[in-house]
Amino acid sequence: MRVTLFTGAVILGAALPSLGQAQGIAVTISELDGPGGSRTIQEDIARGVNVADCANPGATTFTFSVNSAIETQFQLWRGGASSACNTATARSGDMVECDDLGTVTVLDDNTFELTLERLLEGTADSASLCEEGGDIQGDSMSVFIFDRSGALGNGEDVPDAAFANISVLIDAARPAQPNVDVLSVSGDTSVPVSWTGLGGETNIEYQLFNDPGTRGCAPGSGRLITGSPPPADLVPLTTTGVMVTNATVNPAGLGLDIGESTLVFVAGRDNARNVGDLSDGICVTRVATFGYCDTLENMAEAGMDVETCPDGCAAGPAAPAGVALAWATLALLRRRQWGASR
Amino acid sequence: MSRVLAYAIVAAGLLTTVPAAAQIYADQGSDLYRAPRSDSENYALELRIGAYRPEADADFDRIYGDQQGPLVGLELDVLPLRIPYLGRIGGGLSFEWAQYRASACVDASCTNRASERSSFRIFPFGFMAVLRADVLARELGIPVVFTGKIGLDLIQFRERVGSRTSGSGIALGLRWAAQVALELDFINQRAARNLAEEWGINHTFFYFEVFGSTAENGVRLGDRLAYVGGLGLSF
Repeated sequence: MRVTLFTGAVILGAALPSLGQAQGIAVTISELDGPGGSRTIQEDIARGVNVADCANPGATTFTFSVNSAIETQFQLWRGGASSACNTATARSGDMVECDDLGTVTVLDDNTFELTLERLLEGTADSASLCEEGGDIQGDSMSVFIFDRSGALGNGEDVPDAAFANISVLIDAARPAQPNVDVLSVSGDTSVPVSWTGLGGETNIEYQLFNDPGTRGCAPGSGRLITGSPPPADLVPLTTTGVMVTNATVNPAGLGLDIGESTLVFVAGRDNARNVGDLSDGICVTRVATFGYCDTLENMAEAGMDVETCPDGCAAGPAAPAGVALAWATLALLRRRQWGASR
Repeated sequence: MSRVLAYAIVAAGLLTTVPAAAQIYADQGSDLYRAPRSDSENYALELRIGAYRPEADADFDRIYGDQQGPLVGLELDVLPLRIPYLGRIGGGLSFEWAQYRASACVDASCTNRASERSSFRIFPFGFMAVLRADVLARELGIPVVFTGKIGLDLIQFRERVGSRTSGSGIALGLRWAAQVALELDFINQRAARNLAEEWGINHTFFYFEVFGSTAENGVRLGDRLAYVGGLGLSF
């Protein structure tokens, strides 16, 4: 029983990545809302702040949910990924590594909000987290939430029961431009395209883009430009699975007539949902394609004396003998079985 | 040519291995080898891989080249009857799979090809009478078993071009096969005996089989002479 409870606790802990660490106060980020999207599922929140959010930090809001209905105000501190802001030395003195973010008031629904702008206030180090060119996997900061009932000063360590600590990931580095393997492909309903995977990224997916209605493969013939991110309002043709570096394009599905071409681009999308720069355009041309059965059918239609691939069943030479032998064998086995049972 | 070479290699292998194995039995005493024989040896299971190519026509060759599969499959033989001083007789059921892939043709003569892929898949099912002549192994201690099979071949096929199915159907025909198997008990007779006593597996064997089929459905899906090899168990 004890093992079961422990296992359950471990699974719960793994499933809630933004739950404040085990202290007296339990805090979770219940929503991350900003230009990068509204995220309410823990898995999505754990992906962190992305480039779109960083572009407008004042409009990016974290909603924290707390378990305490007693406290109405909390004191917030921010530190690096491994900072221990609950210790006095991290908040004051020569070794200070945490910034005071002031106090927040808990609302009636046991939540409080904090903008990304406020989270980044203070030292130059924290502001740079949201500038492009950071770690490609993102950088983490720690937010410490202190119980103010004890009127703690900077010179004291905060006891475990009086604070919570939440890690916030900021990924302000967009994926690089993928290199496509082939620049020109052709087909009718399912054309394979592939590219080289982007190193350094984990959990990266890839998206294929096409500017609807554009025809021809001249560069700059649509809104999509190699080396730039796709327009935010453009819906991708498809999104691959994680680390998958190939996909298929349906030329007929793109609205191409036989002989028409259009450009398809590939872009990486990282764990924080940052979409990277577009690859070189892949020229997709729709052509009529034939398999063996099509070839036979075309020859028959042209008046040539050939058999085609009919849907259904047909028998070749000596098939009746084969059927007879199969039946005879079955009969033999049944007779043997019947004989044995007697 | 490559097929003939493969036959030659297998035949040479058997010609050199069988006498050597028989000598081992002679040295160790054939009673040890004969010991695992059991009258309850009613089944044989064969895992198979080999080369197969529908003998369609020149157009098939033009699209899919000279691909030989591979053909992979499984066969279960039920052999309830023993013919004294010859072997066992019964029926067999096999299921196999092979696929041929190529870039789709852009024109009827297939001089140009698209990036799109086409694939031709076959699923042969065999329903056959089986005669397993194991008299050499059981009575003389020579670990070679000859098997003949004949019956019905049912081949389901499907061709896809891109995401479109261009043709599918079922073809019937006569199927025959001739197999030579080398029983492996001589490698470790104690292990062979344990396998028989604990698992009921009387013999394990490597085998080589040539077979043919006349199955046809507009397209000739049969192959007059194909071959497979693999590992088998009798129990």
